[in-house]
Amino acid sequence: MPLQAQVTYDSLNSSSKALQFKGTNSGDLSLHFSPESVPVAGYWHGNAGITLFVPTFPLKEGHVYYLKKDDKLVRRISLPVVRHSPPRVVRIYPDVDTIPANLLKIYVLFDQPMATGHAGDQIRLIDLNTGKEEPEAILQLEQELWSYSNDTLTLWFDPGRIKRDLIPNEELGNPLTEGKEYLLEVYPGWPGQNGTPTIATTSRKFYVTEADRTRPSTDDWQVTPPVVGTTGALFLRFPEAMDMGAVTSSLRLTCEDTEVPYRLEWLQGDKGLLMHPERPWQEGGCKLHIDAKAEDLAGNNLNRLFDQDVEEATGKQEEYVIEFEIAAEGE
Amino acid sequence: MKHLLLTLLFLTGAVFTGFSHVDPPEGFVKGDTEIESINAMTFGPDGILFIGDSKTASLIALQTADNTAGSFEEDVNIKNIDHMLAELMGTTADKITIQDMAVNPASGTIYFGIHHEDGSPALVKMKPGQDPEWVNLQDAVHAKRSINSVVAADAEDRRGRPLRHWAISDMNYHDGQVLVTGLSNKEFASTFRSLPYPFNEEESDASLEIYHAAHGQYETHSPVKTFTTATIDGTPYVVASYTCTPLVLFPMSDIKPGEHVKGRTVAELGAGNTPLDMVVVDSESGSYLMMANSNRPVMKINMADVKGYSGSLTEPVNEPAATAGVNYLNLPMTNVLQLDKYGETVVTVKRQSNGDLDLLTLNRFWFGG
Repeated sequence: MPLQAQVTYDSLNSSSKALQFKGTNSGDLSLHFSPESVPVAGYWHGNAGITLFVPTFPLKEGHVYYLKKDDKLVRRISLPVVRHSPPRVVRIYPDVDTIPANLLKIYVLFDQPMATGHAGDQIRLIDLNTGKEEPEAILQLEQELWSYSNDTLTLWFDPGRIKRDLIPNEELGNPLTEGKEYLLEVYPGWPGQNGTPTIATTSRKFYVTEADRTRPSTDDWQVTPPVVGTTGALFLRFPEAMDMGAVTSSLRLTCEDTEVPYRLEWLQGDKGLLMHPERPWQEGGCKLHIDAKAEDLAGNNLNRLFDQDVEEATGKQEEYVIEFEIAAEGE
Repeated sequence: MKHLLLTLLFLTGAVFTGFSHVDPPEGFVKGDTEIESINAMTFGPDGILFIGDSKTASLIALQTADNTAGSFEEDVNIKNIDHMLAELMGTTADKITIQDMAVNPASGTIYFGIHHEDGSPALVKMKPGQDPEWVNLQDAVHAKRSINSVVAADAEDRRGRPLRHWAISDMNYHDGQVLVTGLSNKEFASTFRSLPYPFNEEESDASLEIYHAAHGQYETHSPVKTFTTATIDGTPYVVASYTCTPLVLFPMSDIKPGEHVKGRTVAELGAGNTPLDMVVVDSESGSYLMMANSNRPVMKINMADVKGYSGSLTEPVNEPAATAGVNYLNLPMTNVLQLDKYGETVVTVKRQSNGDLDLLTLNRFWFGG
């Protein structure tokens, strides 16, 4: 029986791509990137006349591989090119036009998982007053801060330049200057995990105002309770724009001492968010728990400023709580 | 199809195994490590390779069974190491990144943690003078534990995945402790943990807040970028470099659960630069701290100078890009991305000016050999 090769793809997960062979056993087969190269790393499985090769890394689309049996070339396998939709930036946080001079973080959200290790080449901050790039404004990290699903990247403005009196701050100054306009640009060519790069430039213009050196307080946060029996959202409002990532991971909701699962939706301007429940709201007392690590745009959290002077007092609470009632209809 | 593939995989068993058969240590199992990323690696005792996995916030101890004593006489010099590794993985160099490199201090075998651009991790080992070999992480003798309970207790999204973005920045082993440092997007702070090895879930970890002096004030909110351990006058120390460039020393004995440790700043290595990797090399002529940097050459610091520097920098250094504290020597090696101890010298991954990525052993001349 002639050896037949068939490429099988899993459209959901490119890493599970496999080569399938019929009419042979796996024992003496090896796949090679080039005729003389070492065998490609992966798992060979044989069962009922079908042999599967599952490579550790995805094979390269459009490349010709070499199959050997008993170390002799038996055939060339040309992998097809699969068209993927190019990734795109769907949102940049902070989602505001005006930022404090001591802005600490930026989040870039994509519509699909992205390849890591490209942030340094793909993102630029341009000083619109001079037209020049601010080359050392954003902290370069070899281990980039990606979300588990690799679709959200966290970028830090260089904290050494933000913190007053540190050497980078004294030498290079704050990364952003009050009164100036900046353009954050995400350039095309940033590959997604499926290898297809972004094709559009995404940009956001910011106007810089004075540095924020005030601790946020949950006393100023407003909760608009939802209507009992509905799945309408709970509305949480802040007096200032807050850090999307820090606040999202700091919130917890309980009603009658039971955890309430929800989906968060940040509103434009980062001054409010909606908490959509999975099930209709029940009547009773609820608590919004906020971890003290919740931050504003300048990295000031509920207990301390980002560059707090050690002589100044800091909050000691680990958690802050806002209590509210979901009242029965007609009350 | 994925389910079919996995079913077949379990029915037939994996064909290749990366390691020879040695009785596993207590607490180890043979099977799938379920590693989702390789972000940092370091060697422990008896050929145990520790792998830090940021995606699952876990630490994996891998029994390499790679205990044959190496001679370290042969220098390792390989041009286009990334092409060589990519070929083994069946792809091109532009599709992979070398996450970390660790040399087995006993055998001299070099281990590379690499990622495909789709996020898949792989471990590759290379004995000096031989072809690289893939290590099967789905059928390996290993032990595993969570890096910290804080991450586990974090808020999760609807699929149960942590909302915190977490990245391990460096990892080292010293005398029964695996030291891990990392940063998260939740707070810009030093996350430094000490985990006892052999793993014991009941024994609590030490979670440190490391202070370093900055102009008379205490600067706490800065993560350690890279660190190593060193023994000075019989006392073990952690030598850590922060994102804001100070080089800080603190005794290992200070690492206790719940303690706030204040480090002694022994050098300011200048702004506009980020430390990438560091290691201490002991040679006949002395003990040297070698540090790779983003915008500066490899620095060599004599540990005897660190020992002799009894002060702690507290005053600002005002000249642009100026440095202060212990003396250091700039070696004629730039763009070194990774380094690890290789006998009495270091092996490096270096980006050449023509764009090539080479594996190079540093000339022993620099260590008086």
